[in-house]
Amino acid sequence: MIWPFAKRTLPALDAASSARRTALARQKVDLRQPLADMRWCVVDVETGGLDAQRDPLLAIGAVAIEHQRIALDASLEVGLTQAQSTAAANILIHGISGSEQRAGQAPHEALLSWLEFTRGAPLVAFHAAFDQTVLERAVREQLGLSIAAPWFDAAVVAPLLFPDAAPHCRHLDDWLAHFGIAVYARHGALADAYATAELWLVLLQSAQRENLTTAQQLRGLLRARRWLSVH
Amino acid sequence: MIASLPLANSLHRATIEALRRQAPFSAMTEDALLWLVQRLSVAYFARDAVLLEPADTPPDALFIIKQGTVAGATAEGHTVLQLATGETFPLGALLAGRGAANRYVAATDTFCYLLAAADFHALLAKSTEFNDFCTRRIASLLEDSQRAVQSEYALALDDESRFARPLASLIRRTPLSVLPDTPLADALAAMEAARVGSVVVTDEAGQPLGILTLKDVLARVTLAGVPLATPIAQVMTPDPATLSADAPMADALVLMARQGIHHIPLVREGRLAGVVSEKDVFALRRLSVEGITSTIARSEDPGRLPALAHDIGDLVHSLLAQGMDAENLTTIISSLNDRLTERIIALECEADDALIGLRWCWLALGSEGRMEQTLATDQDNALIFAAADDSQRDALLAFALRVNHQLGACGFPLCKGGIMASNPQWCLSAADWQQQFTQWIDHGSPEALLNASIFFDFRPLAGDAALALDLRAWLNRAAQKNPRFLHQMAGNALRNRPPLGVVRDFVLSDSDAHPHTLDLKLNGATPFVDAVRIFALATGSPQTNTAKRLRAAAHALHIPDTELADWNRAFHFLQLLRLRHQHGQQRAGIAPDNYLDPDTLNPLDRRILKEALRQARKVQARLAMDYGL
Repeated sequence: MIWPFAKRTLPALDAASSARRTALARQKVDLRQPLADMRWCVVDVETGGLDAQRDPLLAIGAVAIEHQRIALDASLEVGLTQAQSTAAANILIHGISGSEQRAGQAPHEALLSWLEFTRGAPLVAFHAAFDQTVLERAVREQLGLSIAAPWFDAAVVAPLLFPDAAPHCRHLDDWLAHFGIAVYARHGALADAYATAELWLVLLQSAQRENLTTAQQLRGLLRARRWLSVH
Repeated sequence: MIASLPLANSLHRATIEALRRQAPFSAMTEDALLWLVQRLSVAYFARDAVLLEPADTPPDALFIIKQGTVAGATAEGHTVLQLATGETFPLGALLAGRGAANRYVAATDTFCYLLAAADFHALLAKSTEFNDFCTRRIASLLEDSQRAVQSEYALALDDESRFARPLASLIRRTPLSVLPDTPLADALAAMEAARVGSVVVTDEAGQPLGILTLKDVLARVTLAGVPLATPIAQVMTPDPATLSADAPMADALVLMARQGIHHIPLVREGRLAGVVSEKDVFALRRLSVEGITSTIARSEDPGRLPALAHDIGDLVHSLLAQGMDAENLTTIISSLNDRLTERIIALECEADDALIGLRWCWLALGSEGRMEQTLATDQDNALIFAAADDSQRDALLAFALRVNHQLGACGFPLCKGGIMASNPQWCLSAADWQQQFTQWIDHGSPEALLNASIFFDFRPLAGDAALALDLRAWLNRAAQKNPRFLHQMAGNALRNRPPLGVVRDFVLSDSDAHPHTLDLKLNGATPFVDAVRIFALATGSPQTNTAKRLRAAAHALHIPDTELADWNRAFHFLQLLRLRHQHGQQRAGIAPDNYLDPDTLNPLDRRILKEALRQARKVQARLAMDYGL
């Protein structure tokens, strides 16, 4: 469920965009259905820097997992047009040139496309806090909405299911190497989302072997762990 | 170029690049690849996870291994294949629209691309490269088919497993049984009518009470002078040893050996289910190529040879059951028929003083000349001699006539077209044969071309082989010197097109004699035989066998090894279908022919048949190219 925020001044939306924004409110998800039948949206973002609160969102990559399969046609890759190109340093990190940055969609349209793509499914990312912060901020500023779908962090789930490997694995690449997952050339939002999705397939299988049968149970496990680490 | 695909995102492009490293995707167009990629999904299978189970219904997706290893195992759990990155399965099942035969298990953690079955079929229609890759896998498809044939015949290769089989598998007919009060006359008449060596006496419920064998009849009825009106119960062996129909064959062997008996009634729930004889159990062992060969060689009585011809048919059954390939099988049939013919010729020759001092050679023509005989084989033969006066010539003709009739008695029908050594037209001196061949080569009329296609496959069978070999060497020179003749032969051969319709399905005969059938010989094997004969004549090969001719000519004609192998496989699959078809007819008491209803084939064999006919077209295309037709 997505709730409108009324207080901020939003960019004016045209009629079509407004209609799309309204339709998003109908998205619902049931976390009690079996893990095997769950639709997931695996996402990765590119930003103009490492500050999730301030740096601009440049691109969103997302793939969907349905019935434990990644459908290649249903993958999303969208760049967000920027008022001005970001600093040259970050261009080196992401390899997105100034002209490519400007060639994307208007931010509100890009975000609408992404939200429509998620269909309210639970969101998965590696180090999800960063992606969550960036996307929630952008969705709030551009559309006046908040994201209701629950987030799952593959970087937290993986060590829970594979505690023996955890000490050697911090980054996405570590986990991919641990499971021998050969990935395509990376460092694009979609490529990273796809690599994370492959990891998520492995984790889903493992979770079911551990008798975790629903997303709700998985979320419960993550909460308990957070509680344990805090107290 | 990838840049020209506006709808492709970076993941699609990366997937295309990854697929490109493997056949058949490396050969596919950009458009087809993008179409494919946008219909793929990716799934993960942990080690030991089952990807696909053997099933009765066609699989719903094609698997392309993205990374990892997948093992295919039979229902009994034997791993029969290992598939690695880039390989696809189950192609055969998807193509044939049948259930997967194997169980596919992840041997390591594995990621696969999945393509829905409907999309797989759409891609076959969309991409010729993909289609070629899938359908040219005739070799592996043939292996599948071969396995099916073996299980169909329900016989095993080795004695060990054969003797472990249940006796029930030997039951070929409803057992002959009579009630105890049946008069001997009726019981013996029934045995004679059924052509069996024993009769089982049962009560009303079918429970065996006794047995009477032909051997018993001699001692207990004939020699003892028992009237034939006597009830059978008075002379039968009471309380015979029986075995359960489910008992292994080995039990029957032990029982027979211990009790010195030759017939055992088989029971199921106390009731008679069949009878096995010692002959049934040893049937396969008795029949061997060596056994038949030596029996033929030792045979002094022409009257016994027809029975041996029958044994050849039985041997073919057991070899088919053992999964022998058509190339060896047709060679064995031809070799044994050679031995039989040689023996007939030797026996007739010994008895004929008029032939002494004459140089002659018996020629095998047509399929026999090519060593490609199936079970439905007319006689095609001729005679060549060095020189002879009129009376010697008459003696040769008389001798040839006796041989032709003997062959007829052995189950080789006389040639309807009169192509036999006893026909004065085809009993010629070496000089006359050269003149005859020259006339055909120069004339090029349809009749000349037809004769050339039969006679040019000649091979020496008995007598002075040098006569035939000299004629072969002469013919090769003459044919090579006359490109116009080979051109005409090629044009004639191309007139017989393999029956694939516009939608690559079969075009079937609508004749009244054989409705809804395919002539496996004329439309299947002949296009290969005709084209390859021309290859052989053009390259001066002395071979007459189609496969050997093709192998010999391939180098000179620059035919790639893969095509050569596919053509030979396709040809021999067609030959195998003919053998299986004819064998089935013989068992059903029908005269064997070559008219097959494709609907009677299983989907896999139908698929391979189509592929084999497609290969026939490729051979013809090659011939057309060579002769600018």
